[in-house]
Amino acid sequence: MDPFTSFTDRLSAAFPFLGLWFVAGFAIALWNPHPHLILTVAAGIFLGFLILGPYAAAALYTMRLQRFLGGHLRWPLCIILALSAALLVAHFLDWSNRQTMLSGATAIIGTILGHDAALAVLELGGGSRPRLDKLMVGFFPLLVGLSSLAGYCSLGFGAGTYRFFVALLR
Amino acid sequence: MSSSLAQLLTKFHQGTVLGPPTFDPKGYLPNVVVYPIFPATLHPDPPDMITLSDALSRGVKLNDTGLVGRVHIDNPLPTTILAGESEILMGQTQMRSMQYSCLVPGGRRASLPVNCVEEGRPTEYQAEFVDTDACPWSLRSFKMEQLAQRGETEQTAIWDQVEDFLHTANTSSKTKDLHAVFNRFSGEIGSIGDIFPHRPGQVGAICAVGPHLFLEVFGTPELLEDRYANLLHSALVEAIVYPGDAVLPSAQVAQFLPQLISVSRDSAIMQNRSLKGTGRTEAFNGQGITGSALASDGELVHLSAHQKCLGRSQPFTALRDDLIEQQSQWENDHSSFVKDLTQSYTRRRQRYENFKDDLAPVRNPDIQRGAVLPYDEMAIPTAGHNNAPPPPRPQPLSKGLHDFFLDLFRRP
Repeated sequence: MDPFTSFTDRLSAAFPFLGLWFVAGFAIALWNPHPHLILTVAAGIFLGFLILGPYAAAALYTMRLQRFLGGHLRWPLCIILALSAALLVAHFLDWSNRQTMLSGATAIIGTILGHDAALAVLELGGGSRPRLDKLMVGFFPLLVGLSSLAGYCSLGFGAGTYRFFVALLR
Repeated sequence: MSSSLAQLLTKFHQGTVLGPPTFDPKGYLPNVVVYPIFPATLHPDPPDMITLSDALSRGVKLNDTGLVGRVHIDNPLPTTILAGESEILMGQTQMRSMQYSCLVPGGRRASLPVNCVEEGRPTEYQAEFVDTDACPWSLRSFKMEQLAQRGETEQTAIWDQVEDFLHTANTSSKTKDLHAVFNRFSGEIGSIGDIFPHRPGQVGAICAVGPHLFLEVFGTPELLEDRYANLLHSALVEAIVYPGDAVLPSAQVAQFLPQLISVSRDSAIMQNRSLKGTGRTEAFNGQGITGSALASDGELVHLSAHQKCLGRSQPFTALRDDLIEQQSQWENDHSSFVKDLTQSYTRRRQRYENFKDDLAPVRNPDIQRGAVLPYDEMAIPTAGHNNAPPPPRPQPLSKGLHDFFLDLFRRP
């Protein structure tokens, strides 16, 4: 990606990534159309991205934990943090096993994204010439969650549109 | 320790005259104004010291050790060499950049502290460095900040900085070679360099580039003249990579040295065991200023500093008339000073050229019989800093993902 591109160009370049989340939402709609699953996925990815990932990065690097396990502590820490958060929420909200597993998986993915995004934000925001696009930083996690919701909704929309035209033609 | 650097810089400041602003009168390069610095008085004797690039063409050997952080220098000349801060070392091996300024006395071998500025190329053990060039201020400032804060530079951070600069300059290099930026903009730098000519007797310059001030000063005008192209290129490449139409006003430039002296009171000393007793480099950082200074025998040899003055630059068009007036006023007020300085310097320069022409490698019997320890190990502990290991650098979980976010979140 060319670093000189505008906000829209950079967002367009991220479409394949957002497309993956759209497909995931679509797949969930096919698997189980009940809205609690897709909401779990959207919330898991959004919160993992915005809260758990940056929190893991902050814990690792401000407390100098990175030196343990030959520098590989970040992987187990991110996974444990995401899973424990998902289990805690599942316990309080009395989620089913399926929903708990799904929330754990999406929280892990969200935490990984959030960790690496937090490092990128720190790098771009520091130094003698900060070049951080704060709008994109705030907007992108939201877009990822919305993409999965859009994928989920598109199945219902597609099915409804199909039925509408079939009824119209008959 | 540190206050002695402040005293030295105060003495230097009192003994210099800030020259007239030099700029592109046509306004094609509106974000650069260069202010030469002159000595108030000039000693009749030229220095017995040469620059590294001069030394390399006169038989000095600079070899790769196979270690990223150091190179070996063998100086068979009967004179001292100034290896300047951030000078880029080029040869048939991984490109390096000097960490800080060092003096290498005649007949000595030493280890020099360097950083790699070409991540994608391996080191070649004993390969020779044959040339030197300028280093962009973005990297120089970053290195000096690290030295002042931690007493050492972190190589991975330097690589990131180089990569970032190449990205910003829209320059591609398979080996992530910092010099690729100079190769790409050599035409522009060469043509605009003529706008800022070297002036006889000049010992340094403050380059105002956008909201930044870049200062480089040498102890003697001869060393400055030999390094003038590099001094200018370091700043001009920044002006090209970060274009703009605003620049800092003269009032801000005039305050730079006094502010720098104040910041230099809290400095960290760089120690090089293999060059013990040959001069002392100190790095300092604070109030938006980063810098390093090399002093020897109570005299300033080389000073580099950068000040960020974000939000204080003004459009060049608004400053242009003032700059023209200041320029003509300075030339009128200092016409006799300039004339005397030019005459003194011309004589000195001639003697200096003769001195350099007579330089030839001499055999050092001490080195040959092993009495001089070759290439002692370096140590870089610093005064005022604890010796705790540096904190580990944050590592991404996935390099590809991290790069993706870097590109996504980087504002144009």
